[in-house]
Amino acid sequence: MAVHPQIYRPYQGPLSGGWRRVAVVHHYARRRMFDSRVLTALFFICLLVPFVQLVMVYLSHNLSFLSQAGGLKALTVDNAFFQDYLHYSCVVAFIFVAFAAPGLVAPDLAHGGLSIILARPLTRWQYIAGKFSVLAILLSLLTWVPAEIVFLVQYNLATPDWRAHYYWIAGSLLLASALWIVVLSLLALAVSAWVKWRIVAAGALLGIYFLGSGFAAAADAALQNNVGDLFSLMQLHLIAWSGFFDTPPTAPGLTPVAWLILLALAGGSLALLYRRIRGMQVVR
Amino acid sequence: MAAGIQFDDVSKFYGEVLGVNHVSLDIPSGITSLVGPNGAGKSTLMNLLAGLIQPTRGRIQVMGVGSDDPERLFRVVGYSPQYDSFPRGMRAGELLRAHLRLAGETENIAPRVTAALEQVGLAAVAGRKLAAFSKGMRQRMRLALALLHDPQVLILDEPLNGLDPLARAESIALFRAFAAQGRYLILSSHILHDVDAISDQLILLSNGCVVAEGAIQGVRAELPDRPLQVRIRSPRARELAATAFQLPGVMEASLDARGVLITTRDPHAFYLALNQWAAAGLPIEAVQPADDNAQAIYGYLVEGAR
Repeated sequence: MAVHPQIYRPYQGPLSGGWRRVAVVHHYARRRMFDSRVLTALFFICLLVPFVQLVMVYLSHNLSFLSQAGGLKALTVDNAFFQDYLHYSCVVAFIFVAFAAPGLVAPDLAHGGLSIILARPLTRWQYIAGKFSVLAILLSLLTWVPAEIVFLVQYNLATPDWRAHYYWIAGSLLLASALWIVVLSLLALAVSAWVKWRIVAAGALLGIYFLGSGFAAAADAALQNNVGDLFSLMQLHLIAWSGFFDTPPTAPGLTPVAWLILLALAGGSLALLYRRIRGMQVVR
Repeated sequence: MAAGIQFDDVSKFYGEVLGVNHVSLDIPSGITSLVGPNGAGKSTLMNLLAGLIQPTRGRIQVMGVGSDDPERLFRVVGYSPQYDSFPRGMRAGELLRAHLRLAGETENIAPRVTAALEQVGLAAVAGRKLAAFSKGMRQRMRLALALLHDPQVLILDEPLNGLDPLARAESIALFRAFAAQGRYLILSSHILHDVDAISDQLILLSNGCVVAEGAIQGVRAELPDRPLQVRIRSPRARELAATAFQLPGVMEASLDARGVLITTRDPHAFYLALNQWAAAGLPIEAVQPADDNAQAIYGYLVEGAR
């Protein structure tokens, strides 16, 4: 029998709150992502879209220059313009996420490495929140943040009549981007958690987007209607966005179904993600 | 804060597969080793204790904290799994800083990281990338991560795997120093020699059930139906072996370089006779039980039961 005097005194200093620990997960996940020069370069390339849009908005208010240049006379900056702009931004952001997200969760899951992270005062939800926030913030920087800047520039250059007519587009940009960010981030994290190999996970995400879009186009052509749009991630968003931007729906009558599918996609991805994020992986 | 670690009728099933079944334990401070064959439930028990999985039935309390409360549990528990997956681009010190912040601590981050690295002998490589670490260094890194926040309970899964002899000796000394402060160290090991060398207590598992628990000598004493093995050193070993073999109950008496190894079913009668032989002038230099160690207990209770 050994004698063990009780001389241990635990740490008595202040402890950080739960959100600080989420921020730690976020910080190191983002750092690991930008350790890759390719991803860093890709991120900045994605920012070219808002830059081009900004130039277009500026030029649209300098018609004398445009007429001299002989083009872009018909450019109209309105709600449809901003919806199209957000559409392009989201496609580009998707390509970034397809390559960036697979490195977020999968490496932690290899060799039971997650048990080291979850053996801290950190819940599975906090871990997911930390990883989600990386994508949410980066996607924000690629979508609604530059979109709002473009909108502000337009707002300042536009006539009072335009301002009175289209002031609400600022909110539409935020809501439409938020929908895209939530669905895409959860989907990408779920794929990262379930597909071990980065390249396969990136392929799976690109497949979901491009094969879905291809199938949607083929189905639309074969059925002579827009039901196929429900198989395309982007088209689902465009259907939902028509309400935000007050534009004609691309698939009339399918808006409630599109919303349901998007909610199911986000909920299903979250459920799959939560199921996978465990301190100990049980192999049955 | 309530003391100790308690398992109250804990069972864990993975679907229809048994992990551990009806485990009730009260683990005291000091070094406790979990021993058992592959699939006995050692890792399940450790993961339950570390709160990484939850019991299907029953309740676990670690220093008065439920295993389903990670916020409080992981302030008192440090856990080192058998495997790891460190971020390849990170450096040792950087990873420890991240984990100390994950533990919620805000003060003296740098000195505490240095202290943890010094404890495991990695202070010199604090700035090296983890991708360049050897197997033994990774093992020590896992130990540093578990020790980092100065926990009261340390749970180590096969902590001596992959370590060279010097690192093993240093780790064992570290474990002893940890336990000597009245803290709790629970480890699993396949190497029964290590278990003997390190442990204050033993928990022997087989098929998901606790087969034995307690101090090694105490466990052996509770196996009276098992023949006792005694090693006796004497300059007249051959005569001693022949005499001993005449006693009723003695099953075997063999000679080797270390003396006479006697196996008897009647320890009481044997020790009585041994006293008489000594009183009659038979020189006896040492008497030592030969099977009150983890290896023998494992053999009796696990291999013997197969």
